[in-house]
Amino acid sequence: MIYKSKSNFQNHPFHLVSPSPWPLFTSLSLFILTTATVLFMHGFQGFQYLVALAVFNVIYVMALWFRDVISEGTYLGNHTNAVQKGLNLGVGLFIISEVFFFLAIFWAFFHSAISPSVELGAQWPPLGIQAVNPFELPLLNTILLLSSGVTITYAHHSLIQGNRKGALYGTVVTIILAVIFTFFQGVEYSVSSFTISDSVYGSCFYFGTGFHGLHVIIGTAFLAVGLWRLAAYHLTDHHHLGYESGILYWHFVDVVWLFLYISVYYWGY
Amino acid sequence: MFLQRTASALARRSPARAFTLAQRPFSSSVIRSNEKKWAPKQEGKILTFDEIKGEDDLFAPGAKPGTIPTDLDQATGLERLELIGKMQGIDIFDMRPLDASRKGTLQDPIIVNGAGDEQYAGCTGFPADSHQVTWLTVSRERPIERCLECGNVVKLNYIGPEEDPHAHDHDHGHHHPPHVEPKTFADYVKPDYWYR
Amino acid sequence: MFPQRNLGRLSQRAAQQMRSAPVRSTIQRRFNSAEAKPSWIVDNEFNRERAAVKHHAASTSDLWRKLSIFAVIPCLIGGGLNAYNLWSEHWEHWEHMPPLEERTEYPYQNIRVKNFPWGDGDKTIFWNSDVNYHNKDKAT
Repeated sequence: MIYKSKSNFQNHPFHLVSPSPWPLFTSLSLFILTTATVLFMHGFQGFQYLVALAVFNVIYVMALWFRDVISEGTYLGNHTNAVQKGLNLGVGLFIISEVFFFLAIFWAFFHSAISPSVELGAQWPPLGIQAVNPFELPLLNTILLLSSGVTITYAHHSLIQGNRKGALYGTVVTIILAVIFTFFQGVEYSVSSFTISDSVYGSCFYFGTGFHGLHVIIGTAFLAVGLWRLAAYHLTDHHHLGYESGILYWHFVDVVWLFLYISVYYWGY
Repeated sequence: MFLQRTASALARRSPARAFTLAQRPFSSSVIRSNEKKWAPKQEGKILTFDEIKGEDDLFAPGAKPGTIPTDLDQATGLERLELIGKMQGIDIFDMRPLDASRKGTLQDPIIVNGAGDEQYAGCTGFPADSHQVTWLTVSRERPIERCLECGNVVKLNYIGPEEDPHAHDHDHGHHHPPHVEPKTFADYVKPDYWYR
Repeated sequence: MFPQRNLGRLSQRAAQQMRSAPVRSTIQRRFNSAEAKPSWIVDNEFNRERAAVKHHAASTSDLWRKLSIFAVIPCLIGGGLNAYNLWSEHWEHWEHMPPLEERTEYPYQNIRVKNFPWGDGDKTIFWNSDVNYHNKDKAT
C-alpha cells in the first residue's frame, strides 16, 4: 500500500543533476579572468577591457547557473530533505574554507604586528603611519553590522512564522545597513592618510579590510537574491535554504569584522 | 499596440483569466506580458499520499498573494511526495541502515525491502560494524543472499509494482530466445544444497 | 463572522465526506481557508518538530522586532553622532598639522616597484591627493 505509487517516482531521495554547460563556462570565465588580470598587472596594454569582460562573464555564468539551481529547487521540487542536507553541508564547508582564508590574513597581520621590525621603528603602527581612529567610522560600522544581524534575525523569524511583511522589511533594512557599511568603508579608504603601499601596515590593513569588504558586497548580493526570492514567493516557511545560507554567510562576515575591529583597528591603533 | 491592449483588457474581464491568475503559484515572479505563456496548464491541488499517482498530482495551488507560502501550499515534485508522506507518517525513502538486531539465518532471514529488480544490502555483521561492509545483491530471481564474511542471510521483500512498466518489451518486437543461465558445478551438487 | 465561517466549513466538510469526491474537496478546502489543516496530517515527530520550529520563530520574532526598532535605531544614532564628532575633531586636528610635503616620508612608505597599470602609474586605487602625498625625490 505504502509503496503503491512508488513506481512512478524515483525510489531514492537524491538529485542526480542533468548535464549542464555552466561548470565548463565558469571554468573558462575564471581562467580568462586570472590570465587577463595577471597580464593587466604586468602592464600589458588594453587588458583592463578583458578583465572587465571576464568579470562580467563570471557573474553572468554564475547567474545562469544559480537560475538553474533555483528552477530545480523551487519549480521542479528536486530538493528533497536529503538534497537540502547536502546543500547545507556544502555551504557549511564553504564557510569553513572562508574561515581559513581569513585565518591566513590574520596570521600575516599578527606576524608583522606582534613584533614590528626595527626598520619600522619597532612600533605598531609603524613610524609615520597614522592609523584610523577605531572609535570613529569603524565603531559606527561595527554598530551597523551588529544591527544588520538583529534585523536579519527578525526577517528570518518572520519568514518562518509566516509574516511576509516583516520578512520583507527586515531583509530590506538589512540590505540598506549593509550598503551603508560598504559606503562608509569606501569613505574611510579614501580619507585615510596611508595607502596599500605604505609599509606592511598598509598592506595588511587593506588586505584584511579589503577582502572583508569584498565579502560584504558578496553577502549583500546573497541577501538581495534572498529578498527577490522572498518577494517572488519562492521561499516557504520551512524551505528557504538559499536565504538561510545568505544569513549564515552574513553572520560569518559579521564575525570576521568583529575580529578585524578588535585586532586590526582597536589593538593596532 | 491598441489591439493588444484591448485583447488583454478583454481577457482580464473574462472569468477564465481570473481563474488562472488565482491559480498561479508564484504570482509576482513573471511580468504581466508573459502571463499567458507562464500560466499553469493545470490546477494545483493538495492531495493525500494515497491520492498521488503520478507527477501531475504533485502541483499544489500555491500561496495567496501577500502571505508566506507553506510547504504544503507550494512544495512540488519529489520534495512534495516526501513531505506529504512524512506528514502522514510514511517515510518513502527508507534510508535506515540494514537491520542488525540479530544475525539472519536461512530459516529466519533479515528482510530487505526493495522496489526494483535488484537491491543492494550492506552487511556489517552482527553486532553492527563487526566487519568491513560486504555488499550483497538480492534480486527478484535470487531473493536470498548470504554474507561471505559472517554468514548473515538477507532476503529481498519485493514491494514494487506488480507489473513493472519498464521490464517488458525490451526487444521491440524482435524475437529472442529467453536468456538461460549457463550450467555450473553448482547445478550438479546434491539437491539439498541447491539455492533456495 | 467566525462562527458563520466555521459553520460553512463544517457543512462543506460533511458534504465532502458524503460525496467523497477528492478533487472537489481540495478545491473547496483551498478557497475556504489556508489556515485549516487538512485532516490527514497525523501527529508524529516530523510534524511536531516543524510546528515547534514555527512556534519558536513566532514567539521570539516580536523580541527581534523590538530590538530592531528600540535598540538598533538609538545605537545607530549614537554611533553616528559619535562618529560625526570624532570626524570633525580629526579634520580640525588635521588642519593644524604641517603640510603633506613637509612630513617625513620613511623608506617603507609609498613603495613602488613598478608603475601601477592605471592612471599616471603612481597613485593607488583609493588615492586622495588631500591626504596622500608621494615624495618622488626621497633619498631611498
